[in-house]
Amino acid sequence: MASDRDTRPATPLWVKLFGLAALVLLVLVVAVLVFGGGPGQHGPRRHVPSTANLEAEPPAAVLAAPDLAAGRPS
Amino acid sequence: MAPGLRKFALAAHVALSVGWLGAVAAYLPLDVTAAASQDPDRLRAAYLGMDLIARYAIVPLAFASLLTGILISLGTPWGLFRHYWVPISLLMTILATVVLVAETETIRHFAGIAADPETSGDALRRLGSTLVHSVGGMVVLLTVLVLNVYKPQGMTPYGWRKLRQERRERAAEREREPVDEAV
Repeated sequence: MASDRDTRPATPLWVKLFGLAALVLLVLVVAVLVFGGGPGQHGPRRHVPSTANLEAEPPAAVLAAPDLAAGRPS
Repeated sequence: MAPGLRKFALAAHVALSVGWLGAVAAYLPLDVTAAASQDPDRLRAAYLGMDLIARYAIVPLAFASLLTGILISLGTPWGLFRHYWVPISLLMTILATVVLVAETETIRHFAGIAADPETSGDALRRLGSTLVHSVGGMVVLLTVLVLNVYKPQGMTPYGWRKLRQERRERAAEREREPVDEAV
C-alpha cells in the first residue's frame, strides 16, 4: 500500500484555471481569425490604406500650394 | 550551477526582464498616441518611436530574458519542467516573444509609411495602432512576473517522478553507508 509521500498530489486549482483561460483565449483567437476575415487580414496589410486611395490623394504640401498642384511656379 | 554564477545569472535575468517590462511601458504611450491622436506630426513621431523602441529595446530584451530564464531554471533545483509555474512562465514568455516578433513587422511597416514625407495626414490617421497586442503583451509579462515572484505550489508528474527517484537514491545511499563503514 502506498504511503502519503508516494501519492502524487492532484493538479492545483490555479493550473486548471490557467488552462481554462488559455483554452478560452485560443478559441477567441481562432474565432477572430475565422470570422474576422482570416489570417490574411491579420497583419500589417490590414492597416494599410488601399494603393488607389494613396495615389488619388496628393500630399499635404501639394494641397497647401495649389500652384504646385497645377504645375505653375509659385 | 555554482552559487556565484547562479546569482549573476539571476541578477541578469531580473535586469533583462524588468527592462523588457520598462520598454513595453515606454512603448505603450506611443501606441496610445498612434490609436487616438489626430495630429499628423504626433502620429509620425509616435510610429517612428514605436519602431525604434520595438527593434532596439523590446525585441533584444525579450530574447535575452527568455534565454537567461531557461539557463536559470536548468541550473537550479527548480528545473524546467518540475514545477507548474516554470513551464507555464516559459510558455507565456515564448508566446509573448513570438507575437512580438510578428508584430515588429507591422510596426516597421507603419514606421516606413510615417517616415515618408509624402504620406498625408489622412493616411497616417488611417494606419491604426498595435494597442491590442501591446496591452496583451503587458498583461502576459505581468502575469509571468507574479508567477515568478510567488512561485505557486504544484509539482508536475515529471517533477514528482524525479523527486521520488531522488528520494529512493538517497534512501539506498543511507542503507549502504553502514556496510561501507563495516568493510
